[in-house]
Amino acid sequence: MSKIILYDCGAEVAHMVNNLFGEKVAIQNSSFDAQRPLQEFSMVIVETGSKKPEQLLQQIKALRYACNFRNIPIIVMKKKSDTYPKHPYIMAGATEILSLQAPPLACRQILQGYLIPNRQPLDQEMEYLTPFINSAKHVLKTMASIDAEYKELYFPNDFRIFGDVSGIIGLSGKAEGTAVITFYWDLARKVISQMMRVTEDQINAEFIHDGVGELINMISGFSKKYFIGKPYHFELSIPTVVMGSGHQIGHPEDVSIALVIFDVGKSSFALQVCLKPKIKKGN
Amino acid sequence: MSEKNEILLINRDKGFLEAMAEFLRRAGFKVHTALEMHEALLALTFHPVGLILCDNVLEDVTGYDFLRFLKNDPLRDSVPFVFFVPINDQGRAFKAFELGADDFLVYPMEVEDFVSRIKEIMALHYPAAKETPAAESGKAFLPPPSDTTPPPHERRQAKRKQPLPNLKVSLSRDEILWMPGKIKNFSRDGILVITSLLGKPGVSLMVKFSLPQGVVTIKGHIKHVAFDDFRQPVGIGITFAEDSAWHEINDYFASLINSAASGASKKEFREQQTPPPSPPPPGTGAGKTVFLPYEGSEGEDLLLSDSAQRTEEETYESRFYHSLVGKQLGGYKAVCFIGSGSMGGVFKGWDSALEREVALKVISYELSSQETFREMFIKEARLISKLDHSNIAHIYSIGDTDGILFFAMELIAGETLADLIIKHGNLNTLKGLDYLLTVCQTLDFVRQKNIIHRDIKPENIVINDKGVLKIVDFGVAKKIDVNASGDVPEGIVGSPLYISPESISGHVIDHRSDIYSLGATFYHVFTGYPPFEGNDTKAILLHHLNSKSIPLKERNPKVSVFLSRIIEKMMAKDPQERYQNYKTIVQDLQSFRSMVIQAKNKKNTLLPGRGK
Repeated sequence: MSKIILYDCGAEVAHMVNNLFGEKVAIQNSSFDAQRPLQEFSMVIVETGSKKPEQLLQQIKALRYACNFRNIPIIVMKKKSDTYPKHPYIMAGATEILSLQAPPLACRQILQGYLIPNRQPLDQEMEYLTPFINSAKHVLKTMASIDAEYKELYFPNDFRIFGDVSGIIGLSGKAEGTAVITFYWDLARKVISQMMRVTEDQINAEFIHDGVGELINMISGFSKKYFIGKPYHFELSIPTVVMGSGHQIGHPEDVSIALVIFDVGKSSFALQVCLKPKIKKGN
Repeated sequence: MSEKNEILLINRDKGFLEAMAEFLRRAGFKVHTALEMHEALLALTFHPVGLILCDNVLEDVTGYDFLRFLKNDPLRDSVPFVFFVPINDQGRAFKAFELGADDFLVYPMEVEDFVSRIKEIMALHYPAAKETPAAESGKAFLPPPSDTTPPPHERRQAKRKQPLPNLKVSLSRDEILWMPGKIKNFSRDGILVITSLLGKPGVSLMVKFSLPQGVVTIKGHIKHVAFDDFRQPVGIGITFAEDSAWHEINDYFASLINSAASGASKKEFREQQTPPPSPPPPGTGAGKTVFLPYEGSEGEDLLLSDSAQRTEEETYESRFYHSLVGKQLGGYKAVCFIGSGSMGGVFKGWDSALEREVALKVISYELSSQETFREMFIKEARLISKLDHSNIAHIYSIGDTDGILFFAMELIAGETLADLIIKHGNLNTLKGLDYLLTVCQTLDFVRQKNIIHRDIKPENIVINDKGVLKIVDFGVAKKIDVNASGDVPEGIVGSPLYISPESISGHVIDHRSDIYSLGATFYHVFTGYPPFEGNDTKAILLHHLNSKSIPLKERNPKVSVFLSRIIEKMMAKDPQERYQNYKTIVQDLQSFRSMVIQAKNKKNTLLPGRGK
């Protein structure tokens, strides 16, 4: 049974969610707790109105961090009288903003959509994802002496990256796409310091640029050799490093985007891979 | 009391404001407080303030807006301005310095340290009045994430740059991934850009400028990087080679400054400042653009404002479909979203059991919530799944996952007639005629099964990669009960641009309704225009009921009179006056086709050497 946690929600929201789902989901109402692990929940719902928007934005940011790259939708229920724009909530990490005055049917279907279990990857998707997963582990191990454990992968319905720093590389050739590695700040500093043989307090813009760029370059480069002679073979472009949270990445159309999560101790990092052969296999 | 001792403290938190004011008063300063810009301006009017300590968000505006306002006020622009912000809501220190802030303090902070810093700042700005020894120096005003380049305020001592706020550019290292950036200022050597793209000194990158004369992309090198908060965009200084392209851009910037200074209207200036985003040149890299708007960028605003303009219902539908990407719907995987129509959203899917690609059509939440529609849909989808024809996209199965109704059908990769109309303007060609013949023959097969499609339109006729025409989307098709004395109408079903008058008026419909829609569809195909247009759906529907369409020949003089008559007969308002069956249409079309071929051959005979 899916579990939904309502953080600091009033009776109106609790009543609405209960009405929409009845006994099909387990609903828990609780006070906000940034430290609480969210892995057990299928959805988090917060409500505007009871606190200042700035405070709620901070809480959403904290919740998004607590999700640790997992595909846990954060839903903001908004009162109609609340005129604060939606944009900051989305940028902070909210998945969906719904009005309490929205048609219940629409709310139900949208929320239900998010509660449907994630699909498993197709065999042909694993054909190109497996080399990237293995390469990521290998590069982290050899370059930074860090053991990264592959935990899970899913296909996000949100193209935003909620991390602190990302390395992005364009892939072109027989296949085209993108590969993106995203870290939270603490793990980025740890990985780059071990990679660059410097202490964490020495990490600066140049180290981040070189370190994160080199990581995605090497992961893609190691993966590339698995695809020689295959439809997924690609060439690498120059890596780009992006700072800040909430970036939206555009990918080629009509192709899935996989998000692979790796754990390093209690931290995680994410690898997004999107790869589309230009010529269909067998043709 | 002299101004050196008077401090204006602005913070939206009243309790915090009073506590900090008290500490400063104990240290010997006279303190004025304000919760919002309005109060702050009053304090500045009536008191000789020597230092402003301001939060980055006030009750009414942001601290940046307030700072920008002050720096444009010649009477107040010299008052030292220090941001004093909570650690968990630092905003953008770099932006603050660019706007002219003198310092940036972050709390929580020890009271002694805070008072020392204030005394230090005051001593720096009013050296002659140095009364108290400055506090021990050596404490950074910004939290570490260290920076190899000098802090922004040091670089500001370099050659004076011209401010050029909010002029947007795109930056790329590989010409595939383009990042937006905002130019903060420029000089003869280059520009300072705020962007999420990180770089390091010496790195080369491409910068795309949108000038009135077109898009110009030039190569530059990063001269310096200002990076003070890992969650915020960075500032990068980019230099360009002294060549004509850069001179042209530089001249354009200078003209913007001049036009603003010479009183050009704000609107005109704004238009110049915000050239429309342009796509990258084709054929570069992978031939695609990866675009990353950063936090607060106008690209985001555009996206959101665009969606805000759509009706609430449409956004609910699209958000519903969006929630299903990457999900498992029964035995099918939703791989990626393809598009949506009035009846539902279409996904590229994967049939886990039979291991084949499918198109998954998810019925809109509104239709699937109606029990009568659900029943009808399931019953008729079963019938349509039995239609076995090479020009019909097959329905494989129907499913219901937690109340989400969908069906799986043949996935057809290709272009719809709507795509081809957009691409070519119209399809008044032999090929277009052949498409009409094929659709007629296919719909005749459908009619023989006592089924009507009810949503014939250019979007539902696809030419696949092998050139085979397929009719898709039987989602609202209906089985006609030939033995029943009268069928019960179910309200308006169809697409407004192509719907038949009897569907609109609620009469019982039969295959002649499809004939009307097919006529309207090919009116659009041959002329490039739908038969009726209007400001809203109601206006279009009224035209279908009452108006005579503009003759095809007037819309497109190249359309043959013979073909024009066929289409107009298909579109007769009264079903009795239309073609009564597809066979007659096919006969007329084939006669016309023979005439066209003969004429073509004759032309080739008269013009030797052509047609080979």
